[in-house]
Amino acid sequence: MKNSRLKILRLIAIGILTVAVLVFTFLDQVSAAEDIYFICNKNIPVNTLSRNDIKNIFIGKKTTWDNQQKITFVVLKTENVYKEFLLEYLRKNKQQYELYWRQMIFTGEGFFPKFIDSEDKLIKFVAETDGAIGFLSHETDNDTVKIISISN
Amino acid sequence: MKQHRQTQGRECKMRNRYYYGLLAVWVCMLFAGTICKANDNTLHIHGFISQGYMKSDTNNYLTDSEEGSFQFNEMGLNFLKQATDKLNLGMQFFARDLGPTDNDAIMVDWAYADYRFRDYLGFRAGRIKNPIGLYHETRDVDMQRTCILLPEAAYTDNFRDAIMATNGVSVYGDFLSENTGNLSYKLIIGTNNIKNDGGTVFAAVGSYWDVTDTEIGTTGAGSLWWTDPTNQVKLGGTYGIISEMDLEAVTNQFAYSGLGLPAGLHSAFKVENILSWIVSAEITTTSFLFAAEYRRLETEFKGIIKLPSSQPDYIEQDDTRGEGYYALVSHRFSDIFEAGYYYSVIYPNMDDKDGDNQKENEKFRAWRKDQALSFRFDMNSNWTFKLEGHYIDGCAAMYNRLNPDGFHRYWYLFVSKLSYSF
Repeated sequence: MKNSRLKILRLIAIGILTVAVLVFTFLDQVSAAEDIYFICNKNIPVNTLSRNDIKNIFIGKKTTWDNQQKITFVVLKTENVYKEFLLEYLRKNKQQYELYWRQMIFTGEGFFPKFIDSEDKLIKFVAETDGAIGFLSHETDNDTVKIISISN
Repeated sequence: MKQHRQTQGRECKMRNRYYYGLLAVWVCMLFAGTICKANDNTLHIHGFISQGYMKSDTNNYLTDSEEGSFQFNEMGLNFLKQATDKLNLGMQFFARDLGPTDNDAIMVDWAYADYRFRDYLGFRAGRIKNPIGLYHETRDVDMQRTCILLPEAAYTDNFRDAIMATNGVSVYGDFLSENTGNLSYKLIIGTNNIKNDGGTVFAAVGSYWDVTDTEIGTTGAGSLWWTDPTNQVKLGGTYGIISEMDLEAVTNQFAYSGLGLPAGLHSAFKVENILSWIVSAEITTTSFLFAAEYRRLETEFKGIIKLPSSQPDYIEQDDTRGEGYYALVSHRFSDIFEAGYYYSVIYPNMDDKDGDNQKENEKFRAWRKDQALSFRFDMNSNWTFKLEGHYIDGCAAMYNRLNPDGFHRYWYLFVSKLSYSF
């Protein structure tokens, strides 16, 4: 009798925990306040990327463009844009993103991303690096890089 | 006397090795930032070091925790280089001290060449970390999680050095899908070496033997993970097998009081088909992490003790199926502070969950139910400090050697750790 009560209590506790997990998962999404604009090196053979492509590129899962050219991604680390990019495209906070890359480093499975702290430097890096992609907080008319549009 | 001197000499050499290793780690840490910034296409150097402290109210857990112990540290230093667009080379040195095991001896944690032919197909050769559950591959890097001690339900220290890594080859890859998420796989096959004083040896032969030689057969591991398109849900499983493990040993000075056997008897142990699998689920949001894992560990054990004079050998056989499961939750309150809780249950023999095969007054050695509350403070991106309290029911899978006077069922454990990584 006591055992069956305990089992029922356990089931109720598991049920409450499961509901709590689902509720937190959906409530904890915060939409980004600002737009993010993507640029890439001019020799990259694409004009449009999906949000899924962006996610896979910046977590190091998609490592080459369709022509097998290596992807080099660069992260703009100015406080607000960086946070909003992570939230909007990767659903991560900065601690989670940096821990993810530490995990890659300490298992030998990847290199820490290149972080750049100014938009001008980022544009220059993308323009000069084959296969490079990065993001900005504003549109640019700089013709040394290509603007990438994002499809859902 | 001579033996004592030899032991002292070994300890002295080991201590010197430790200090040289520590010095090397710190010198590299001092210069690493400069080297990393000098040229992104050259050599990348990263490392971590952590020092912990353990204190329990009763029962010695992994070290002399009842008195309070600082024999609880880890350090690693790795070198990564991109040789070509598709070929990466890397290696990591690692040392740790945890009570009677490891004693900060420097070892190669992993070292391999990685050729990524396509996103869906890559090859590795060398010493490769085995994928076991969600967190095994970075279990020694304290900064990677909220808790200090990973739930032993899935990350037991027993057999740790045997399952840690494989010297062999691996195939891996990621199938990326727009609508159904990513599927990642990894397969590894090869063999491994274990130490005479590691956790595997303690788990396999217990407290009454000193192991003189070890040999491991073929080892293999594999993982399959699915990640949802939003990158928040991760589900999957991992599998590991060691075909056989042979240990040569002699009875030590504790054998007479424990088993009535004189010291110096030669014994041979064989553990076959060590099989471990884990199914895992992890959900992350921008401030919460939920994870749960279930693990099975199966072993076929055979011990042969060569008795003195003309008596026949004493043979003991035991096939064991163990299980463990845990659930954890952690929440990040701010850039600086994170807290977590887990409940972990381990049964080394799932056919004896009530302890009927244990001594009458030690039935609680059949299980260990551990509740842990952890607090993590990120002082900056390099330094982390953690505090953790455990309330534990049971003493399964704990070293007899550290608890010669027996065990207590209910006990508390306090752990703290300071870590630096770059």
